[in-house]
Amino acid sequence: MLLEIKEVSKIYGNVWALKDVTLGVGPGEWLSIMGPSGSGKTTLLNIIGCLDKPSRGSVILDGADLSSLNSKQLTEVRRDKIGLVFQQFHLIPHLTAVENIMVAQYYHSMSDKRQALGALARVGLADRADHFPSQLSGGEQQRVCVARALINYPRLILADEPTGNLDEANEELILGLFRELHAEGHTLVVVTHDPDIGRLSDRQVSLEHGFIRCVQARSGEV
Amino acid sequence: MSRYWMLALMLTASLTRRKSRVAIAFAAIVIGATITSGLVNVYYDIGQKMSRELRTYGANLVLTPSSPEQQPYVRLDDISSVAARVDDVRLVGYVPYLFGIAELQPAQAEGDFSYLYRVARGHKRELVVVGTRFDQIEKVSPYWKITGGTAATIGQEKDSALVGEIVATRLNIAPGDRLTLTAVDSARTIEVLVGGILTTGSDEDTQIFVDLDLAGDLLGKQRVASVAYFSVVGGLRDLESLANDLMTEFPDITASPITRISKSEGQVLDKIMSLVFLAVALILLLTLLCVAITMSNVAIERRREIGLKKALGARDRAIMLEFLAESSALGLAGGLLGWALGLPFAQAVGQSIFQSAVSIRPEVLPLVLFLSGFLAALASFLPARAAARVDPATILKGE
Amino acid sequence: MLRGSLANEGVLLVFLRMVRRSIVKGWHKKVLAVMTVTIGTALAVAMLNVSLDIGDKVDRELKDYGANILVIPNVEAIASEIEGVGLGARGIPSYLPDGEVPKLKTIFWSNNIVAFAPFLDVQASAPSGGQVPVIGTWFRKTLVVPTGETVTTGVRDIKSWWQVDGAWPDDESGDALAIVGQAVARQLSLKPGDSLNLAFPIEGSHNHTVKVSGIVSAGGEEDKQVFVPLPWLQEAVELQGQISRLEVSALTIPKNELARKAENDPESLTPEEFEVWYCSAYVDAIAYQIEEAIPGARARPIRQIAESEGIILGRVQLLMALLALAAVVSSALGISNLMGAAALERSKEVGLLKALGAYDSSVTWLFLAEAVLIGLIGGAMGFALGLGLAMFVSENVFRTTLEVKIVTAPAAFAIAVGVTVLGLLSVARVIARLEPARILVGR
Repeated sequence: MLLEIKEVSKIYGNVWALKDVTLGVGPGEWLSIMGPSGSGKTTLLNIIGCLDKPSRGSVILDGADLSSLNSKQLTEVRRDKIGLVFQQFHLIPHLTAVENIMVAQYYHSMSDKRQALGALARVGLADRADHFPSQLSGGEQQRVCVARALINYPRLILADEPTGNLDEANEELILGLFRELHAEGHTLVVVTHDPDIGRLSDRQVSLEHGFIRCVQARSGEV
Repeated sequence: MSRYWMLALMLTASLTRRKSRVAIAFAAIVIGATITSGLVNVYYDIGQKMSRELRTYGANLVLTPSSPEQQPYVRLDDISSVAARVDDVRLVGYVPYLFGIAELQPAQAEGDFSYLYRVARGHKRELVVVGTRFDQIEKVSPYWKITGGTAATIGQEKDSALVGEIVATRLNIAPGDRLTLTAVDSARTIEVLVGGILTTGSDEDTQIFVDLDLAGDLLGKQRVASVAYFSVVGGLRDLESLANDLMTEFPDITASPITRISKSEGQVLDKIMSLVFLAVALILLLTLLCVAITMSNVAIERRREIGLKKALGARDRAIMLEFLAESSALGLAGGLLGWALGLPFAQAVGQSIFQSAVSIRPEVLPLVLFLSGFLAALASFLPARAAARVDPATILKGE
Repeated sequence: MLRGSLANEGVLLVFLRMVRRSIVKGWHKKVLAVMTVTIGTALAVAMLNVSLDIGDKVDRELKDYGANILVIPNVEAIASEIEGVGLGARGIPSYLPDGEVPKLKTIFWSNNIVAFAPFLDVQASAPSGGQVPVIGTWFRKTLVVPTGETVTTGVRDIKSWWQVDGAWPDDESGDALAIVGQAVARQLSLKPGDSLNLAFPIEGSHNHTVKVSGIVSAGGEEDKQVFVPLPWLQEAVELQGQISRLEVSALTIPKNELARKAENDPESLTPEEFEVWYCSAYVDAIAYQIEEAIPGARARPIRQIAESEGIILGRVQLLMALLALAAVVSSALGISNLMGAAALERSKEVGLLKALGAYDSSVTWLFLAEAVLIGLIGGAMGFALGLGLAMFVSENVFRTTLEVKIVTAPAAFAIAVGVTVLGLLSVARVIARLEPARILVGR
């Protein structure tokens, strides 16, 4: 298992955002976390992404127990092993597309413009490298985000509603990218409420009120 | 590609591409630095300038003979030696006075002297005649009001006289009149031309001033004076120590500060200085606070960027470093520009208040640079650190 | 008609709700904005108040230099004095009645007269055979003036630089006590408690003994004089009710063009100019009024004090005015800067509003309403804080309370609201030009 989640709970005040969630993700697997708003799926994603810590339970990523790490060590794990894709893209507005990718390289190890340009080419944006986020369409911005998430060869790619802000055509583009990544053997965890995306994944987990309601393998394959 | 290169790229991008925000922060820093630079330069100079202004109150040190019983006069040589002994920068001016009594002769028909006889029923026309150096009057007694000319123009003619207002009114003397003065204790006589009428509101209004050498001829006292008045920049304590030094060096004279002038000067100067200090401190404090708030506001705006960088795996320290480097670069640049702009500002203040240039102090530059750099860094560092401490997830989700 | 007004009401309600929401939502930034406005306004108010009050305050300090108006009898012959010691030149002495002195406090500018003292100058023979000027005066006397007011004044209030070793005599006791100048004391080897024999040049019994109460070091001509209570001296030399001169210390304002014109020739003023001159606290105007109040008196500014006072006062006032200006400019720039920053930051919100169909003008109105609100709150708080600061300065520098200038209240609000709105308008065009789609997608 690349990622093992054991009896993880997250409590805000007296609200249980997550309750005894246990889940495993194998290498190369595409897992979708589904559920309505407020079901705790983003909380779970944040915990996996080292952006948040569980109140109880343990998370083991690539052999390291996250619950025993301090915030500095969590930052290092996030930097080295995780690529993040956000619903709102989160590009730095005053940096160009290629520079935004180089920032991720910079914090990881060392910036390499050729490599960053390669990543942009990989998502089909080689000609948009010197554009600012405000000059890119939503779909293009999200592709820059995907390129950024890939640049440091993460063990795990986490995406939070990656198509939530996109139109259908762009959604197709992004999902195409995800399929390619999956085919190349990347491990993907995608939070979404879109059943179409869920159907593309190897496995779907449905959350409701912090509980895992059901786990479902890809239809047609099992 | 080196790490520093990327850091430099991010800094330049942040400083050159966020134009309106950087402009706002930069403007705030420049304004703050301009005011700091201008006011501090003015403040350093104001004590000296005010002290010199307060010299309009006139002489504050008086030289008299040390043993009037044996030698009732001070030698002019001693007076000029004393003047040479006092620092050029501090000496505003000095003027010798030679007092004597003379009788006014109704030698010429012009001028109605009958009034004199009515008023001074003693049938005496005795007046105090003072020999002085007219060219020094404007420096030592700038408050003298002279009608009919200035002390300098009157001083150009060796036989000019300056007549006190009360004398002039009573005896109906006007500029252009000729007067004949006879010393009461000898028969020596001089003739003078009235160059102007003097008003001071005190004793001088009843006296006649003539050139020192002419008075010497009249009174038979050459190259001496009864007293000499000095106007010297400095407080009571400075003057006391100066007076002591002078008395050891010149045993024939007694030097004493005029307490009324020098003591009051010290008190007034203290008040003015503490007022200016408080005002300047207040303005600087509040201006710097405004700058800090603007800088913080601009930094708060970038919470999201901080959150994102953290999510990308940036350590807190790396983010802090970026913010510190960026804001102190902005602070130093703004400080430098503000310092430069502050100089004409200081000169404008100096010219409009004192009609003289403010001396520029080089030590103000490091002060301004330190203040603006430090303040800018601190003001953006604190909110950035606060943002870095918050979980990136919260910031990225928020708004 | 009715529907129209209802609709308007609805619009207003939504508008108000939006203002409220926008304030509640970004509250921490609004707090910063209000803080900046408060600080800026406080600075401006403090400096304005201090600089408006400064003339009076500094002038009071300048009273340390002593009297600035000398009142003498109009018929006085030419006095021949050098350095306070008569040279023997003769003139017939003339006097003013001391009953006229309290009339000083009946003139238009009576409140500006902070101290005064009468003097009676007499030459006496000292035991050593030399002549010594003996001067009768009030040391510190309480008197009731014609307006019914009680005034305490005298030489101690006029000659603040005098240093007395020993005790000041009491004016009311009627004892023959004297303050002796230190030069006289050294010459006659006198110390406090000693007796001094004085012989006055008048007919009959003229030998008097006074007790030395204190030795004065004045660093001037007073060191060569002897000061005694006025009534005692009047009695001794049989000049009851007579004084030689009166020194007055008055608060004045620096001379301007008009005052210079009047100084040269009061007759040259037009009636209107005269009115203005008379009702301004120029030293010449005060002297003029004293001459009106005391018949037979000739009041003249002592130029050494009066002129210098005007110059110093002018300088300090100009300095403070410049500092106040710097404060106002600095705070104005600070406030408008921050408001501009805050408005720019909200371009996303503007984009949304415009996308929802808001006109540029209604967006601007929303922001304006907010700016005015922030300006009003900040202005009120800044005014209060500014007064506090001004009082702090006043207490610390002059040890007196501040006279609050009400005119600074509207000034505070004008600065606060005006500058806040100005800061907003400086970026209004940028905001109005924003294209909604770009902003909403761009972020």
